[in-house]
Amino acid sequence: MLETVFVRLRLVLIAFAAVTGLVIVQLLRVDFGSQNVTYFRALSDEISQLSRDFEPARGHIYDRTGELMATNGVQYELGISPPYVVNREDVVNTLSDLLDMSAPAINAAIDSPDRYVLLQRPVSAAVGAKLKDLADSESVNLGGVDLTPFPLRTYPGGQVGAQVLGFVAYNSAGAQVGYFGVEGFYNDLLAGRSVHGIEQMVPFDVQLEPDPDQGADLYLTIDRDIQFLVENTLNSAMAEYGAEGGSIIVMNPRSGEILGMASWPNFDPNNYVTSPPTNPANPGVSGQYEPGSTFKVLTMAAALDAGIITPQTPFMDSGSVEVGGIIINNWNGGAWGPVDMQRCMQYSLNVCLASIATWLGPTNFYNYMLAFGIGHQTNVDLAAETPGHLKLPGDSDWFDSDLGTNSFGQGVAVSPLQLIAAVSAIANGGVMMQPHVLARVTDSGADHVTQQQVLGRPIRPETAATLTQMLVASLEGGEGSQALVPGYSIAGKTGTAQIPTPGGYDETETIASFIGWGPADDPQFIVLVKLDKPSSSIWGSETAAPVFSQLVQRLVVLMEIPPDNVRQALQAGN
Amino acid sequence: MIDTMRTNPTAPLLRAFREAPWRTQTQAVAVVSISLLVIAIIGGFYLTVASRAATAGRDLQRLEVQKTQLVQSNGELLAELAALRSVTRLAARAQALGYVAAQPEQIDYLRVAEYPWTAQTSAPPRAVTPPTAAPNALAQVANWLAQVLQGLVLGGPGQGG
Repeated sequence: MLETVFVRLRLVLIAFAAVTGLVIVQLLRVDFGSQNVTYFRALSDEISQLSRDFEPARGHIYDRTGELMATNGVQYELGISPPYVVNREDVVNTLSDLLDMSAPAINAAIDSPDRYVLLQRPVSAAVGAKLKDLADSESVNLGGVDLTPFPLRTYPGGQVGAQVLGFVAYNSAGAQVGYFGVEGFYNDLLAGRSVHGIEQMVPFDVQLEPDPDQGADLYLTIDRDIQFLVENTLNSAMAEYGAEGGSIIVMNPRSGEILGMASWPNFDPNNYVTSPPTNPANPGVSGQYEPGSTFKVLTMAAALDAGIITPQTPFMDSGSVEVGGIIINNWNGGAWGPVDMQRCMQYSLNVCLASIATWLGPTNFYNYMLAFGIGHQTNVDLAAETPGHLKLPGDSDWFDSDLGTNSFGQGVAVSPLQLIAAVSAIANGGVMMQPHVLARVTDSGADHVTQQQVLGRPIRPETAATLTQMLVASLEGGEGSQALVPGYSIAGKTGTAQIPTPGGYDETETIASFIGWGPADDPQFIVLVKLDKPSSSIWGSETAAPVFSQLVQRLVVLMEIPPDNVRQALQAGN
Repeated sequence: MIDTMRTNPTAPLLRAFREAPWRTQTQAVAVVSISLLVIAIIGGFYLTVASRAATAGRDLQRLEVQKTQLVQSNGELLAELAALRSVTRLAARAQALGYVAAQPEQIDYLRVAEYPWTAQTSAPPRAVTPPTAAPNALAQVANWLAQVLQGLVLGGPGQGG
């Protein structure tokens, strides 16, 4: 009896051992010996691991006072995993209500043999939130509906500062990329660095997700209040003067900080598909034009600095002068008789400035223009800057007559930023500062402040002071008097530039502009106003100059600049 | 053999006991049982550790999801706050409330010692910085204003007494 029990026990043991052996053999076969080992391992990895890039959050963009100008919101990708759909009716009814999709299309997605079917991308945050709420409330069964969040670049101010900021879109690889403006120029800084890693799905193997290098936060020199003022002023000017386009830039001549910059038409960085940027996206930096009489400031600066004239140097204006075989006339075709250099600027006499350029000679004249940065990029930290165009003696397209026409801003192309940077040298005692929009970078908790850089010293401080006084005097009672701001000393110059056409110059339309700075004895801002093809008047003195005045009257309030008498009294008391 | 039996009469019994088939099988069963027990204990330990690791992993997954949701939510709130503070909205709201933009002639200037004159021309300030303890003029004015506002809200120092 006892022996029979032992025999049975032995048989059970042998059976267990055999089963165990079979299991071990099978495990070894799967692990090492099976032809399917690759397949099984791949299948295991596919189920348990997800190889992907861990993307960092894109850095924020702030204005100079710390107000947020660009941040990250969320949007969703909505898809269906057909095998996991539990209640077809709930899914179809809910999605067809919330999305702009028909029930048959959703049914077709559910019937698909694929494991995942993309229904819509992007889906707004609001719709995503509604779907989540419905799923959480369990009033409907949305099993099989996949809602995957992904970042959405958001600009809280809407169009305010759009051309400076640029926008962000997804490239073909599915990565966020900045285009134009700060987003484009500082894309690498803002984007951070993604990390490639493996996300483990099996809880036993889960590890902490890798931490990618977050994008840096940028603090701009832009003041959003000034930016808003600039854009509002420009929009009003467009309507008031019937212009087709325009640009306004406000800069601090002492530091090169751009405080506000706008062009019209603008675009909406939140909806760049329906409201796309113009070409170029930021005409203030990327667009070029013939500046006309505002360029005379540079010619006069060169001549004063070279010592060939003084403000009192007499000039007999006969109404025309021949330079390089062409006859140059004044803007109104008239002759002003005996004048001095002060009057030349006050009446904006082409004949006078062309004569001055010939006195300077081409070498001197163009050396000064190059020193002012004409024909070269300012290297501002904004995407797609144009270098403008300055023909030089020796170039195949340069003729002797260009010396005369260039002196009053014809036959030379500049960007608005290039011109304001050049003229800022006169406002800033002969020192031209590097224009820039980045004030500070915060990266991984460390601050990096942008160092202000000198772009050049094209003229001596004495020349700058003399010319400033000339321009202050020429505005008062001159053709640019509408640019004056009560209580503040303003130096500036109007410009009315003809528009080049393939056969010469447009006879009817102009680019009206004004460039000025103040307070003249303590300059804290320099402003360029440019209006393209104003229809109410072709003259800069009647369009751009009053726009300048209107803008500066608000600008001094925002910048807390008291009227000259108050400021001087306060400074004297200190 | 006879001599041996004479000297140790219990030897055959002991030998028979040792060689009894049931005893040999009992030893084998005991060895297997102990082995199984050891394996079971080790397996138990392994299962406990694996279970804890899996629980921790699941917690980690949950926390990662939570972290992602919080970061996302934080971003949404930041964007919402920024939209509420946007200059476009504030300007429209101010206009709706009847405010107009100040003009230079509407402003009176006062001399305030240590006033930061070069607010616009100097390097931009930090975005969000805690108020410093330095008792400069601006801080004093701000403190005074805060006290006045607090007094207005609370209805003066006598309230609640």
